[in-house]
Amino acid sequence: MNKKQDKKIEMSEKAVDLALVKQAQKGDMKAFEMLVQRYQQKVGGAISKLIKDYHEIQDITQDVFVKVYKALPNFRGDSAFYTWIYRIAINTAKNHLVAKGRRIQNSDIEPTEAENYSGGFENQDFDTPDAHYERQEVEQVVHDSIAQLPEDLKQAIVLRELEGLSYEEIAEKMNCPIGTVRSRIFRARDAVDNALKPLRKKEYKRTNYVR
Amino acid sequence: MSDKSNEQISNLMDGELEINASKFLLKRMAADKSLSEKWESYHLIKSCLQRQANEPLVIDVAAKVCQELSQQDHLNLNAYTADAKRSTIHKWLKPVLGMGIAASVAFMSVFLIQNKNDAGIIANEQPTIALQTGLKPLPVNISANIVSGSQSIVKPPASLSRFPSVSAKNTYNYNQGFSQTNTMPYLIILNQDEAKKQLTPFRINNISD
Repeated sequence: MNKKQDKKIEMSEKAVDLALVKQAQKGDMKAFEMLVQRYQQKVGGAISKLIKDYHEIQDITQDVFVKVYKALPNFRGDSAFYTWIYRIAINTAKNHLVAKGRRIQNSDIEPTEAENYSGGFENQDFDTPDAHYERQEVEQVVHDSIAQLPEDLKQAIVLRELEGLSYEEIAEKMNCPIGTVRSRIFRARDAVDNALKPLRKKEYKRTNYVR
Repeated sequence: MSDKSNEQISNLMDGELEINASKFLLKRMAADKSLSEKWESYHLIKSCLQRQANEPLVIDVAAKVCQELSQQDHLNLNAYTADAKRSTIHKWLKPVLGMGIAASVAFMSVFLIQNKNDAGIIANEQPTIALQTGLKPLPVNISANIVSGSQSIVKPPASLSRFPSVSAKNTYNYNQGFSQTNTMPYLIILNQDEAKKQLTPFRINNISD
């Protein structure tokens, strides 16, 4: 059989973003929520280069996504979605600092540099003890459950999330079919997700109690 | 929710799911809460693993953003959705409207040209025919019989004639009525004998006046 016919074309991460953006532009709130879930950590991380208070980071991240939603009709897809929201995030954080009368540190950070930029305040405590503990607990569970995974699943998820390799590259490295890589990465994520379930129930009870 | 769907979500977030399956899954996720929760959870795991040591873990922003948008900006959201709908309507309305205008302009011009031509043809042809036969051009279903040189009788076709024994009289009047008012032609019907008497005014000399 022809190889070209056999090969399935995958929807790239950028195309997934674009599909969600198009849905959100039509007024689909769920699609926008999925975009926020996808990028909240990256945006929060970028803002944390300029601002150290956790609550401020949370608030500004929230503001950023509200602005993103309102500006969504202007997004034409010429640049990557993250590059676009990154600029909104940095501008919002800068405006926040100006409004508070604070000095802007290292304002010219590019999206590619932002990943590795520390902002000059490493190991700072960002937040209140409760919030900090809660997030630490989540992270602990994730790392513990990854450590307990069978070796093949662990290797696949680490190569994907930490090394940033594509499925094809992982398949080459692990010397197995790409379908096996798909399955291993999924099973690793599912195992961690199952370990997080009790925490999510606890958090749900806590947030409902607070409200 | 099946393991297959969860595996597809895992593949989708890495950009490793086939296009058609991706589109289908995105639609399903918009409607199925359990699927979108998986999407959120897998991204949380990703965030935990990829987070830099100095970054805080940002969670729960999505729900707050959606809540804020729906409360603070309810009217604007509706306006935005209406704008989006309007723009989709404009997309197909514009060409249709354009085609409609073009069609009406074309129709009007054809109509006017045809009218002008009809009037022109009749005005131009009238003297020529009159010189030869003393008659105007005849409609398809009506035949002109040259009787003797410049004289003729207009006969409706036998199939259309209700009174075969009678013939037309003044064809000049018939053509005049047709050309001037642009309405249905009319015929003055007389007996054959009477018609013969009436043919004399159709001599060339008389008509040229």
